[in-house]
Amino acid sequence: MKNYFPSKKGQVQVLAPAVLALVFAAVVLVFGLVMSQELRDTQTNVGPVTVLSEAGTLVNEGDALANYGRCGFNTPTILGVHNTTWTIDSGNYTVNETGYIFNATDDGVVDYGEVVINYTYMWGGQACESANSTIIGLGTFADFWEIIVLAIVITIVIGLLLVVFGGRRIR
Amino acid sequence: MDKRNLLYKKKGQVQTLAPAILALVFAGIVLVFGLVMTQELRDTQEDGSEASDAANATVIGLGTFADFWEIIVLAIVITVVIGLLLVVFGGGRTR
Repeated sequence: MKNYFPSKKGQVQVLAPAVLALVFAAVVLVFGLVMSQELRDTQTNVGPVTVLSEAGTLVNEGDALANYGRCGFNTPTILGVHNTTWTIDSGNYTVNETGYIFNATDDGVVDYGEVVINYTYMWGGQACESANSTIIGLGTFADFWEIIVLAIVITIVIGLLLVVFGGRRIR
Repeated sequence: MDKRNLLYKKKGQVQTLAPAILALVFAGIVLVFGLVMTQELRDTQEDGSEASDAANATVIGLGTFADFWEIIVLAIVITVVIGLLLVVFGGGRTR
């Protein structure tokens, strides 16, 4: 007779290889994600891209440049800042590496408010963006470990129950 | 044991997971590496030249592959989970 459902011992013996396979898969996944991330971070040299007349604000708490979120954004350089009446002196603002521009006046003057900003920046290009999508896409695998573990456990438990209570027909 | 028989076993179902993830990660790294190389190659060309435009289109085209990783991952997970459940609940017919 064909042995569709092996012994109880056989059911439980599935567990160790399953856990091993899961752990191995997880290590490979994490290792691959780290490598992809490192590869993505090498991409920072596309540009410089010039942006003219971008509307923004020059306030004490800082305001993000519109492109600060682009993949591999770096080295923002302000070419000029103007408001409706005059050009703001370059000593009155600063920009940090992440793309935030701050009001740097120390004379108690309130924020300049709405201004127009001209600047250049470097970024990672399409390769960086695709690498980012790849990392995010592969990373979703991590969300499914619980379901896979649950499926393995259900398989083993139900397999055991079937062996015990299934009677002779399924043995 | 051939591959077909392996798929009918619980152990076989889980064992398809590690190679699938290995293949995915390898494909991901190759894709990213290829895009980096193509982009670097594009940047050596003069802006607006035919080679530059073609390289740019290639980079953008290849880059769309990256949008489908989530669907591929989902397909693998569904395959493994449904495969496991079918082995138990499918009875003799799935063997």
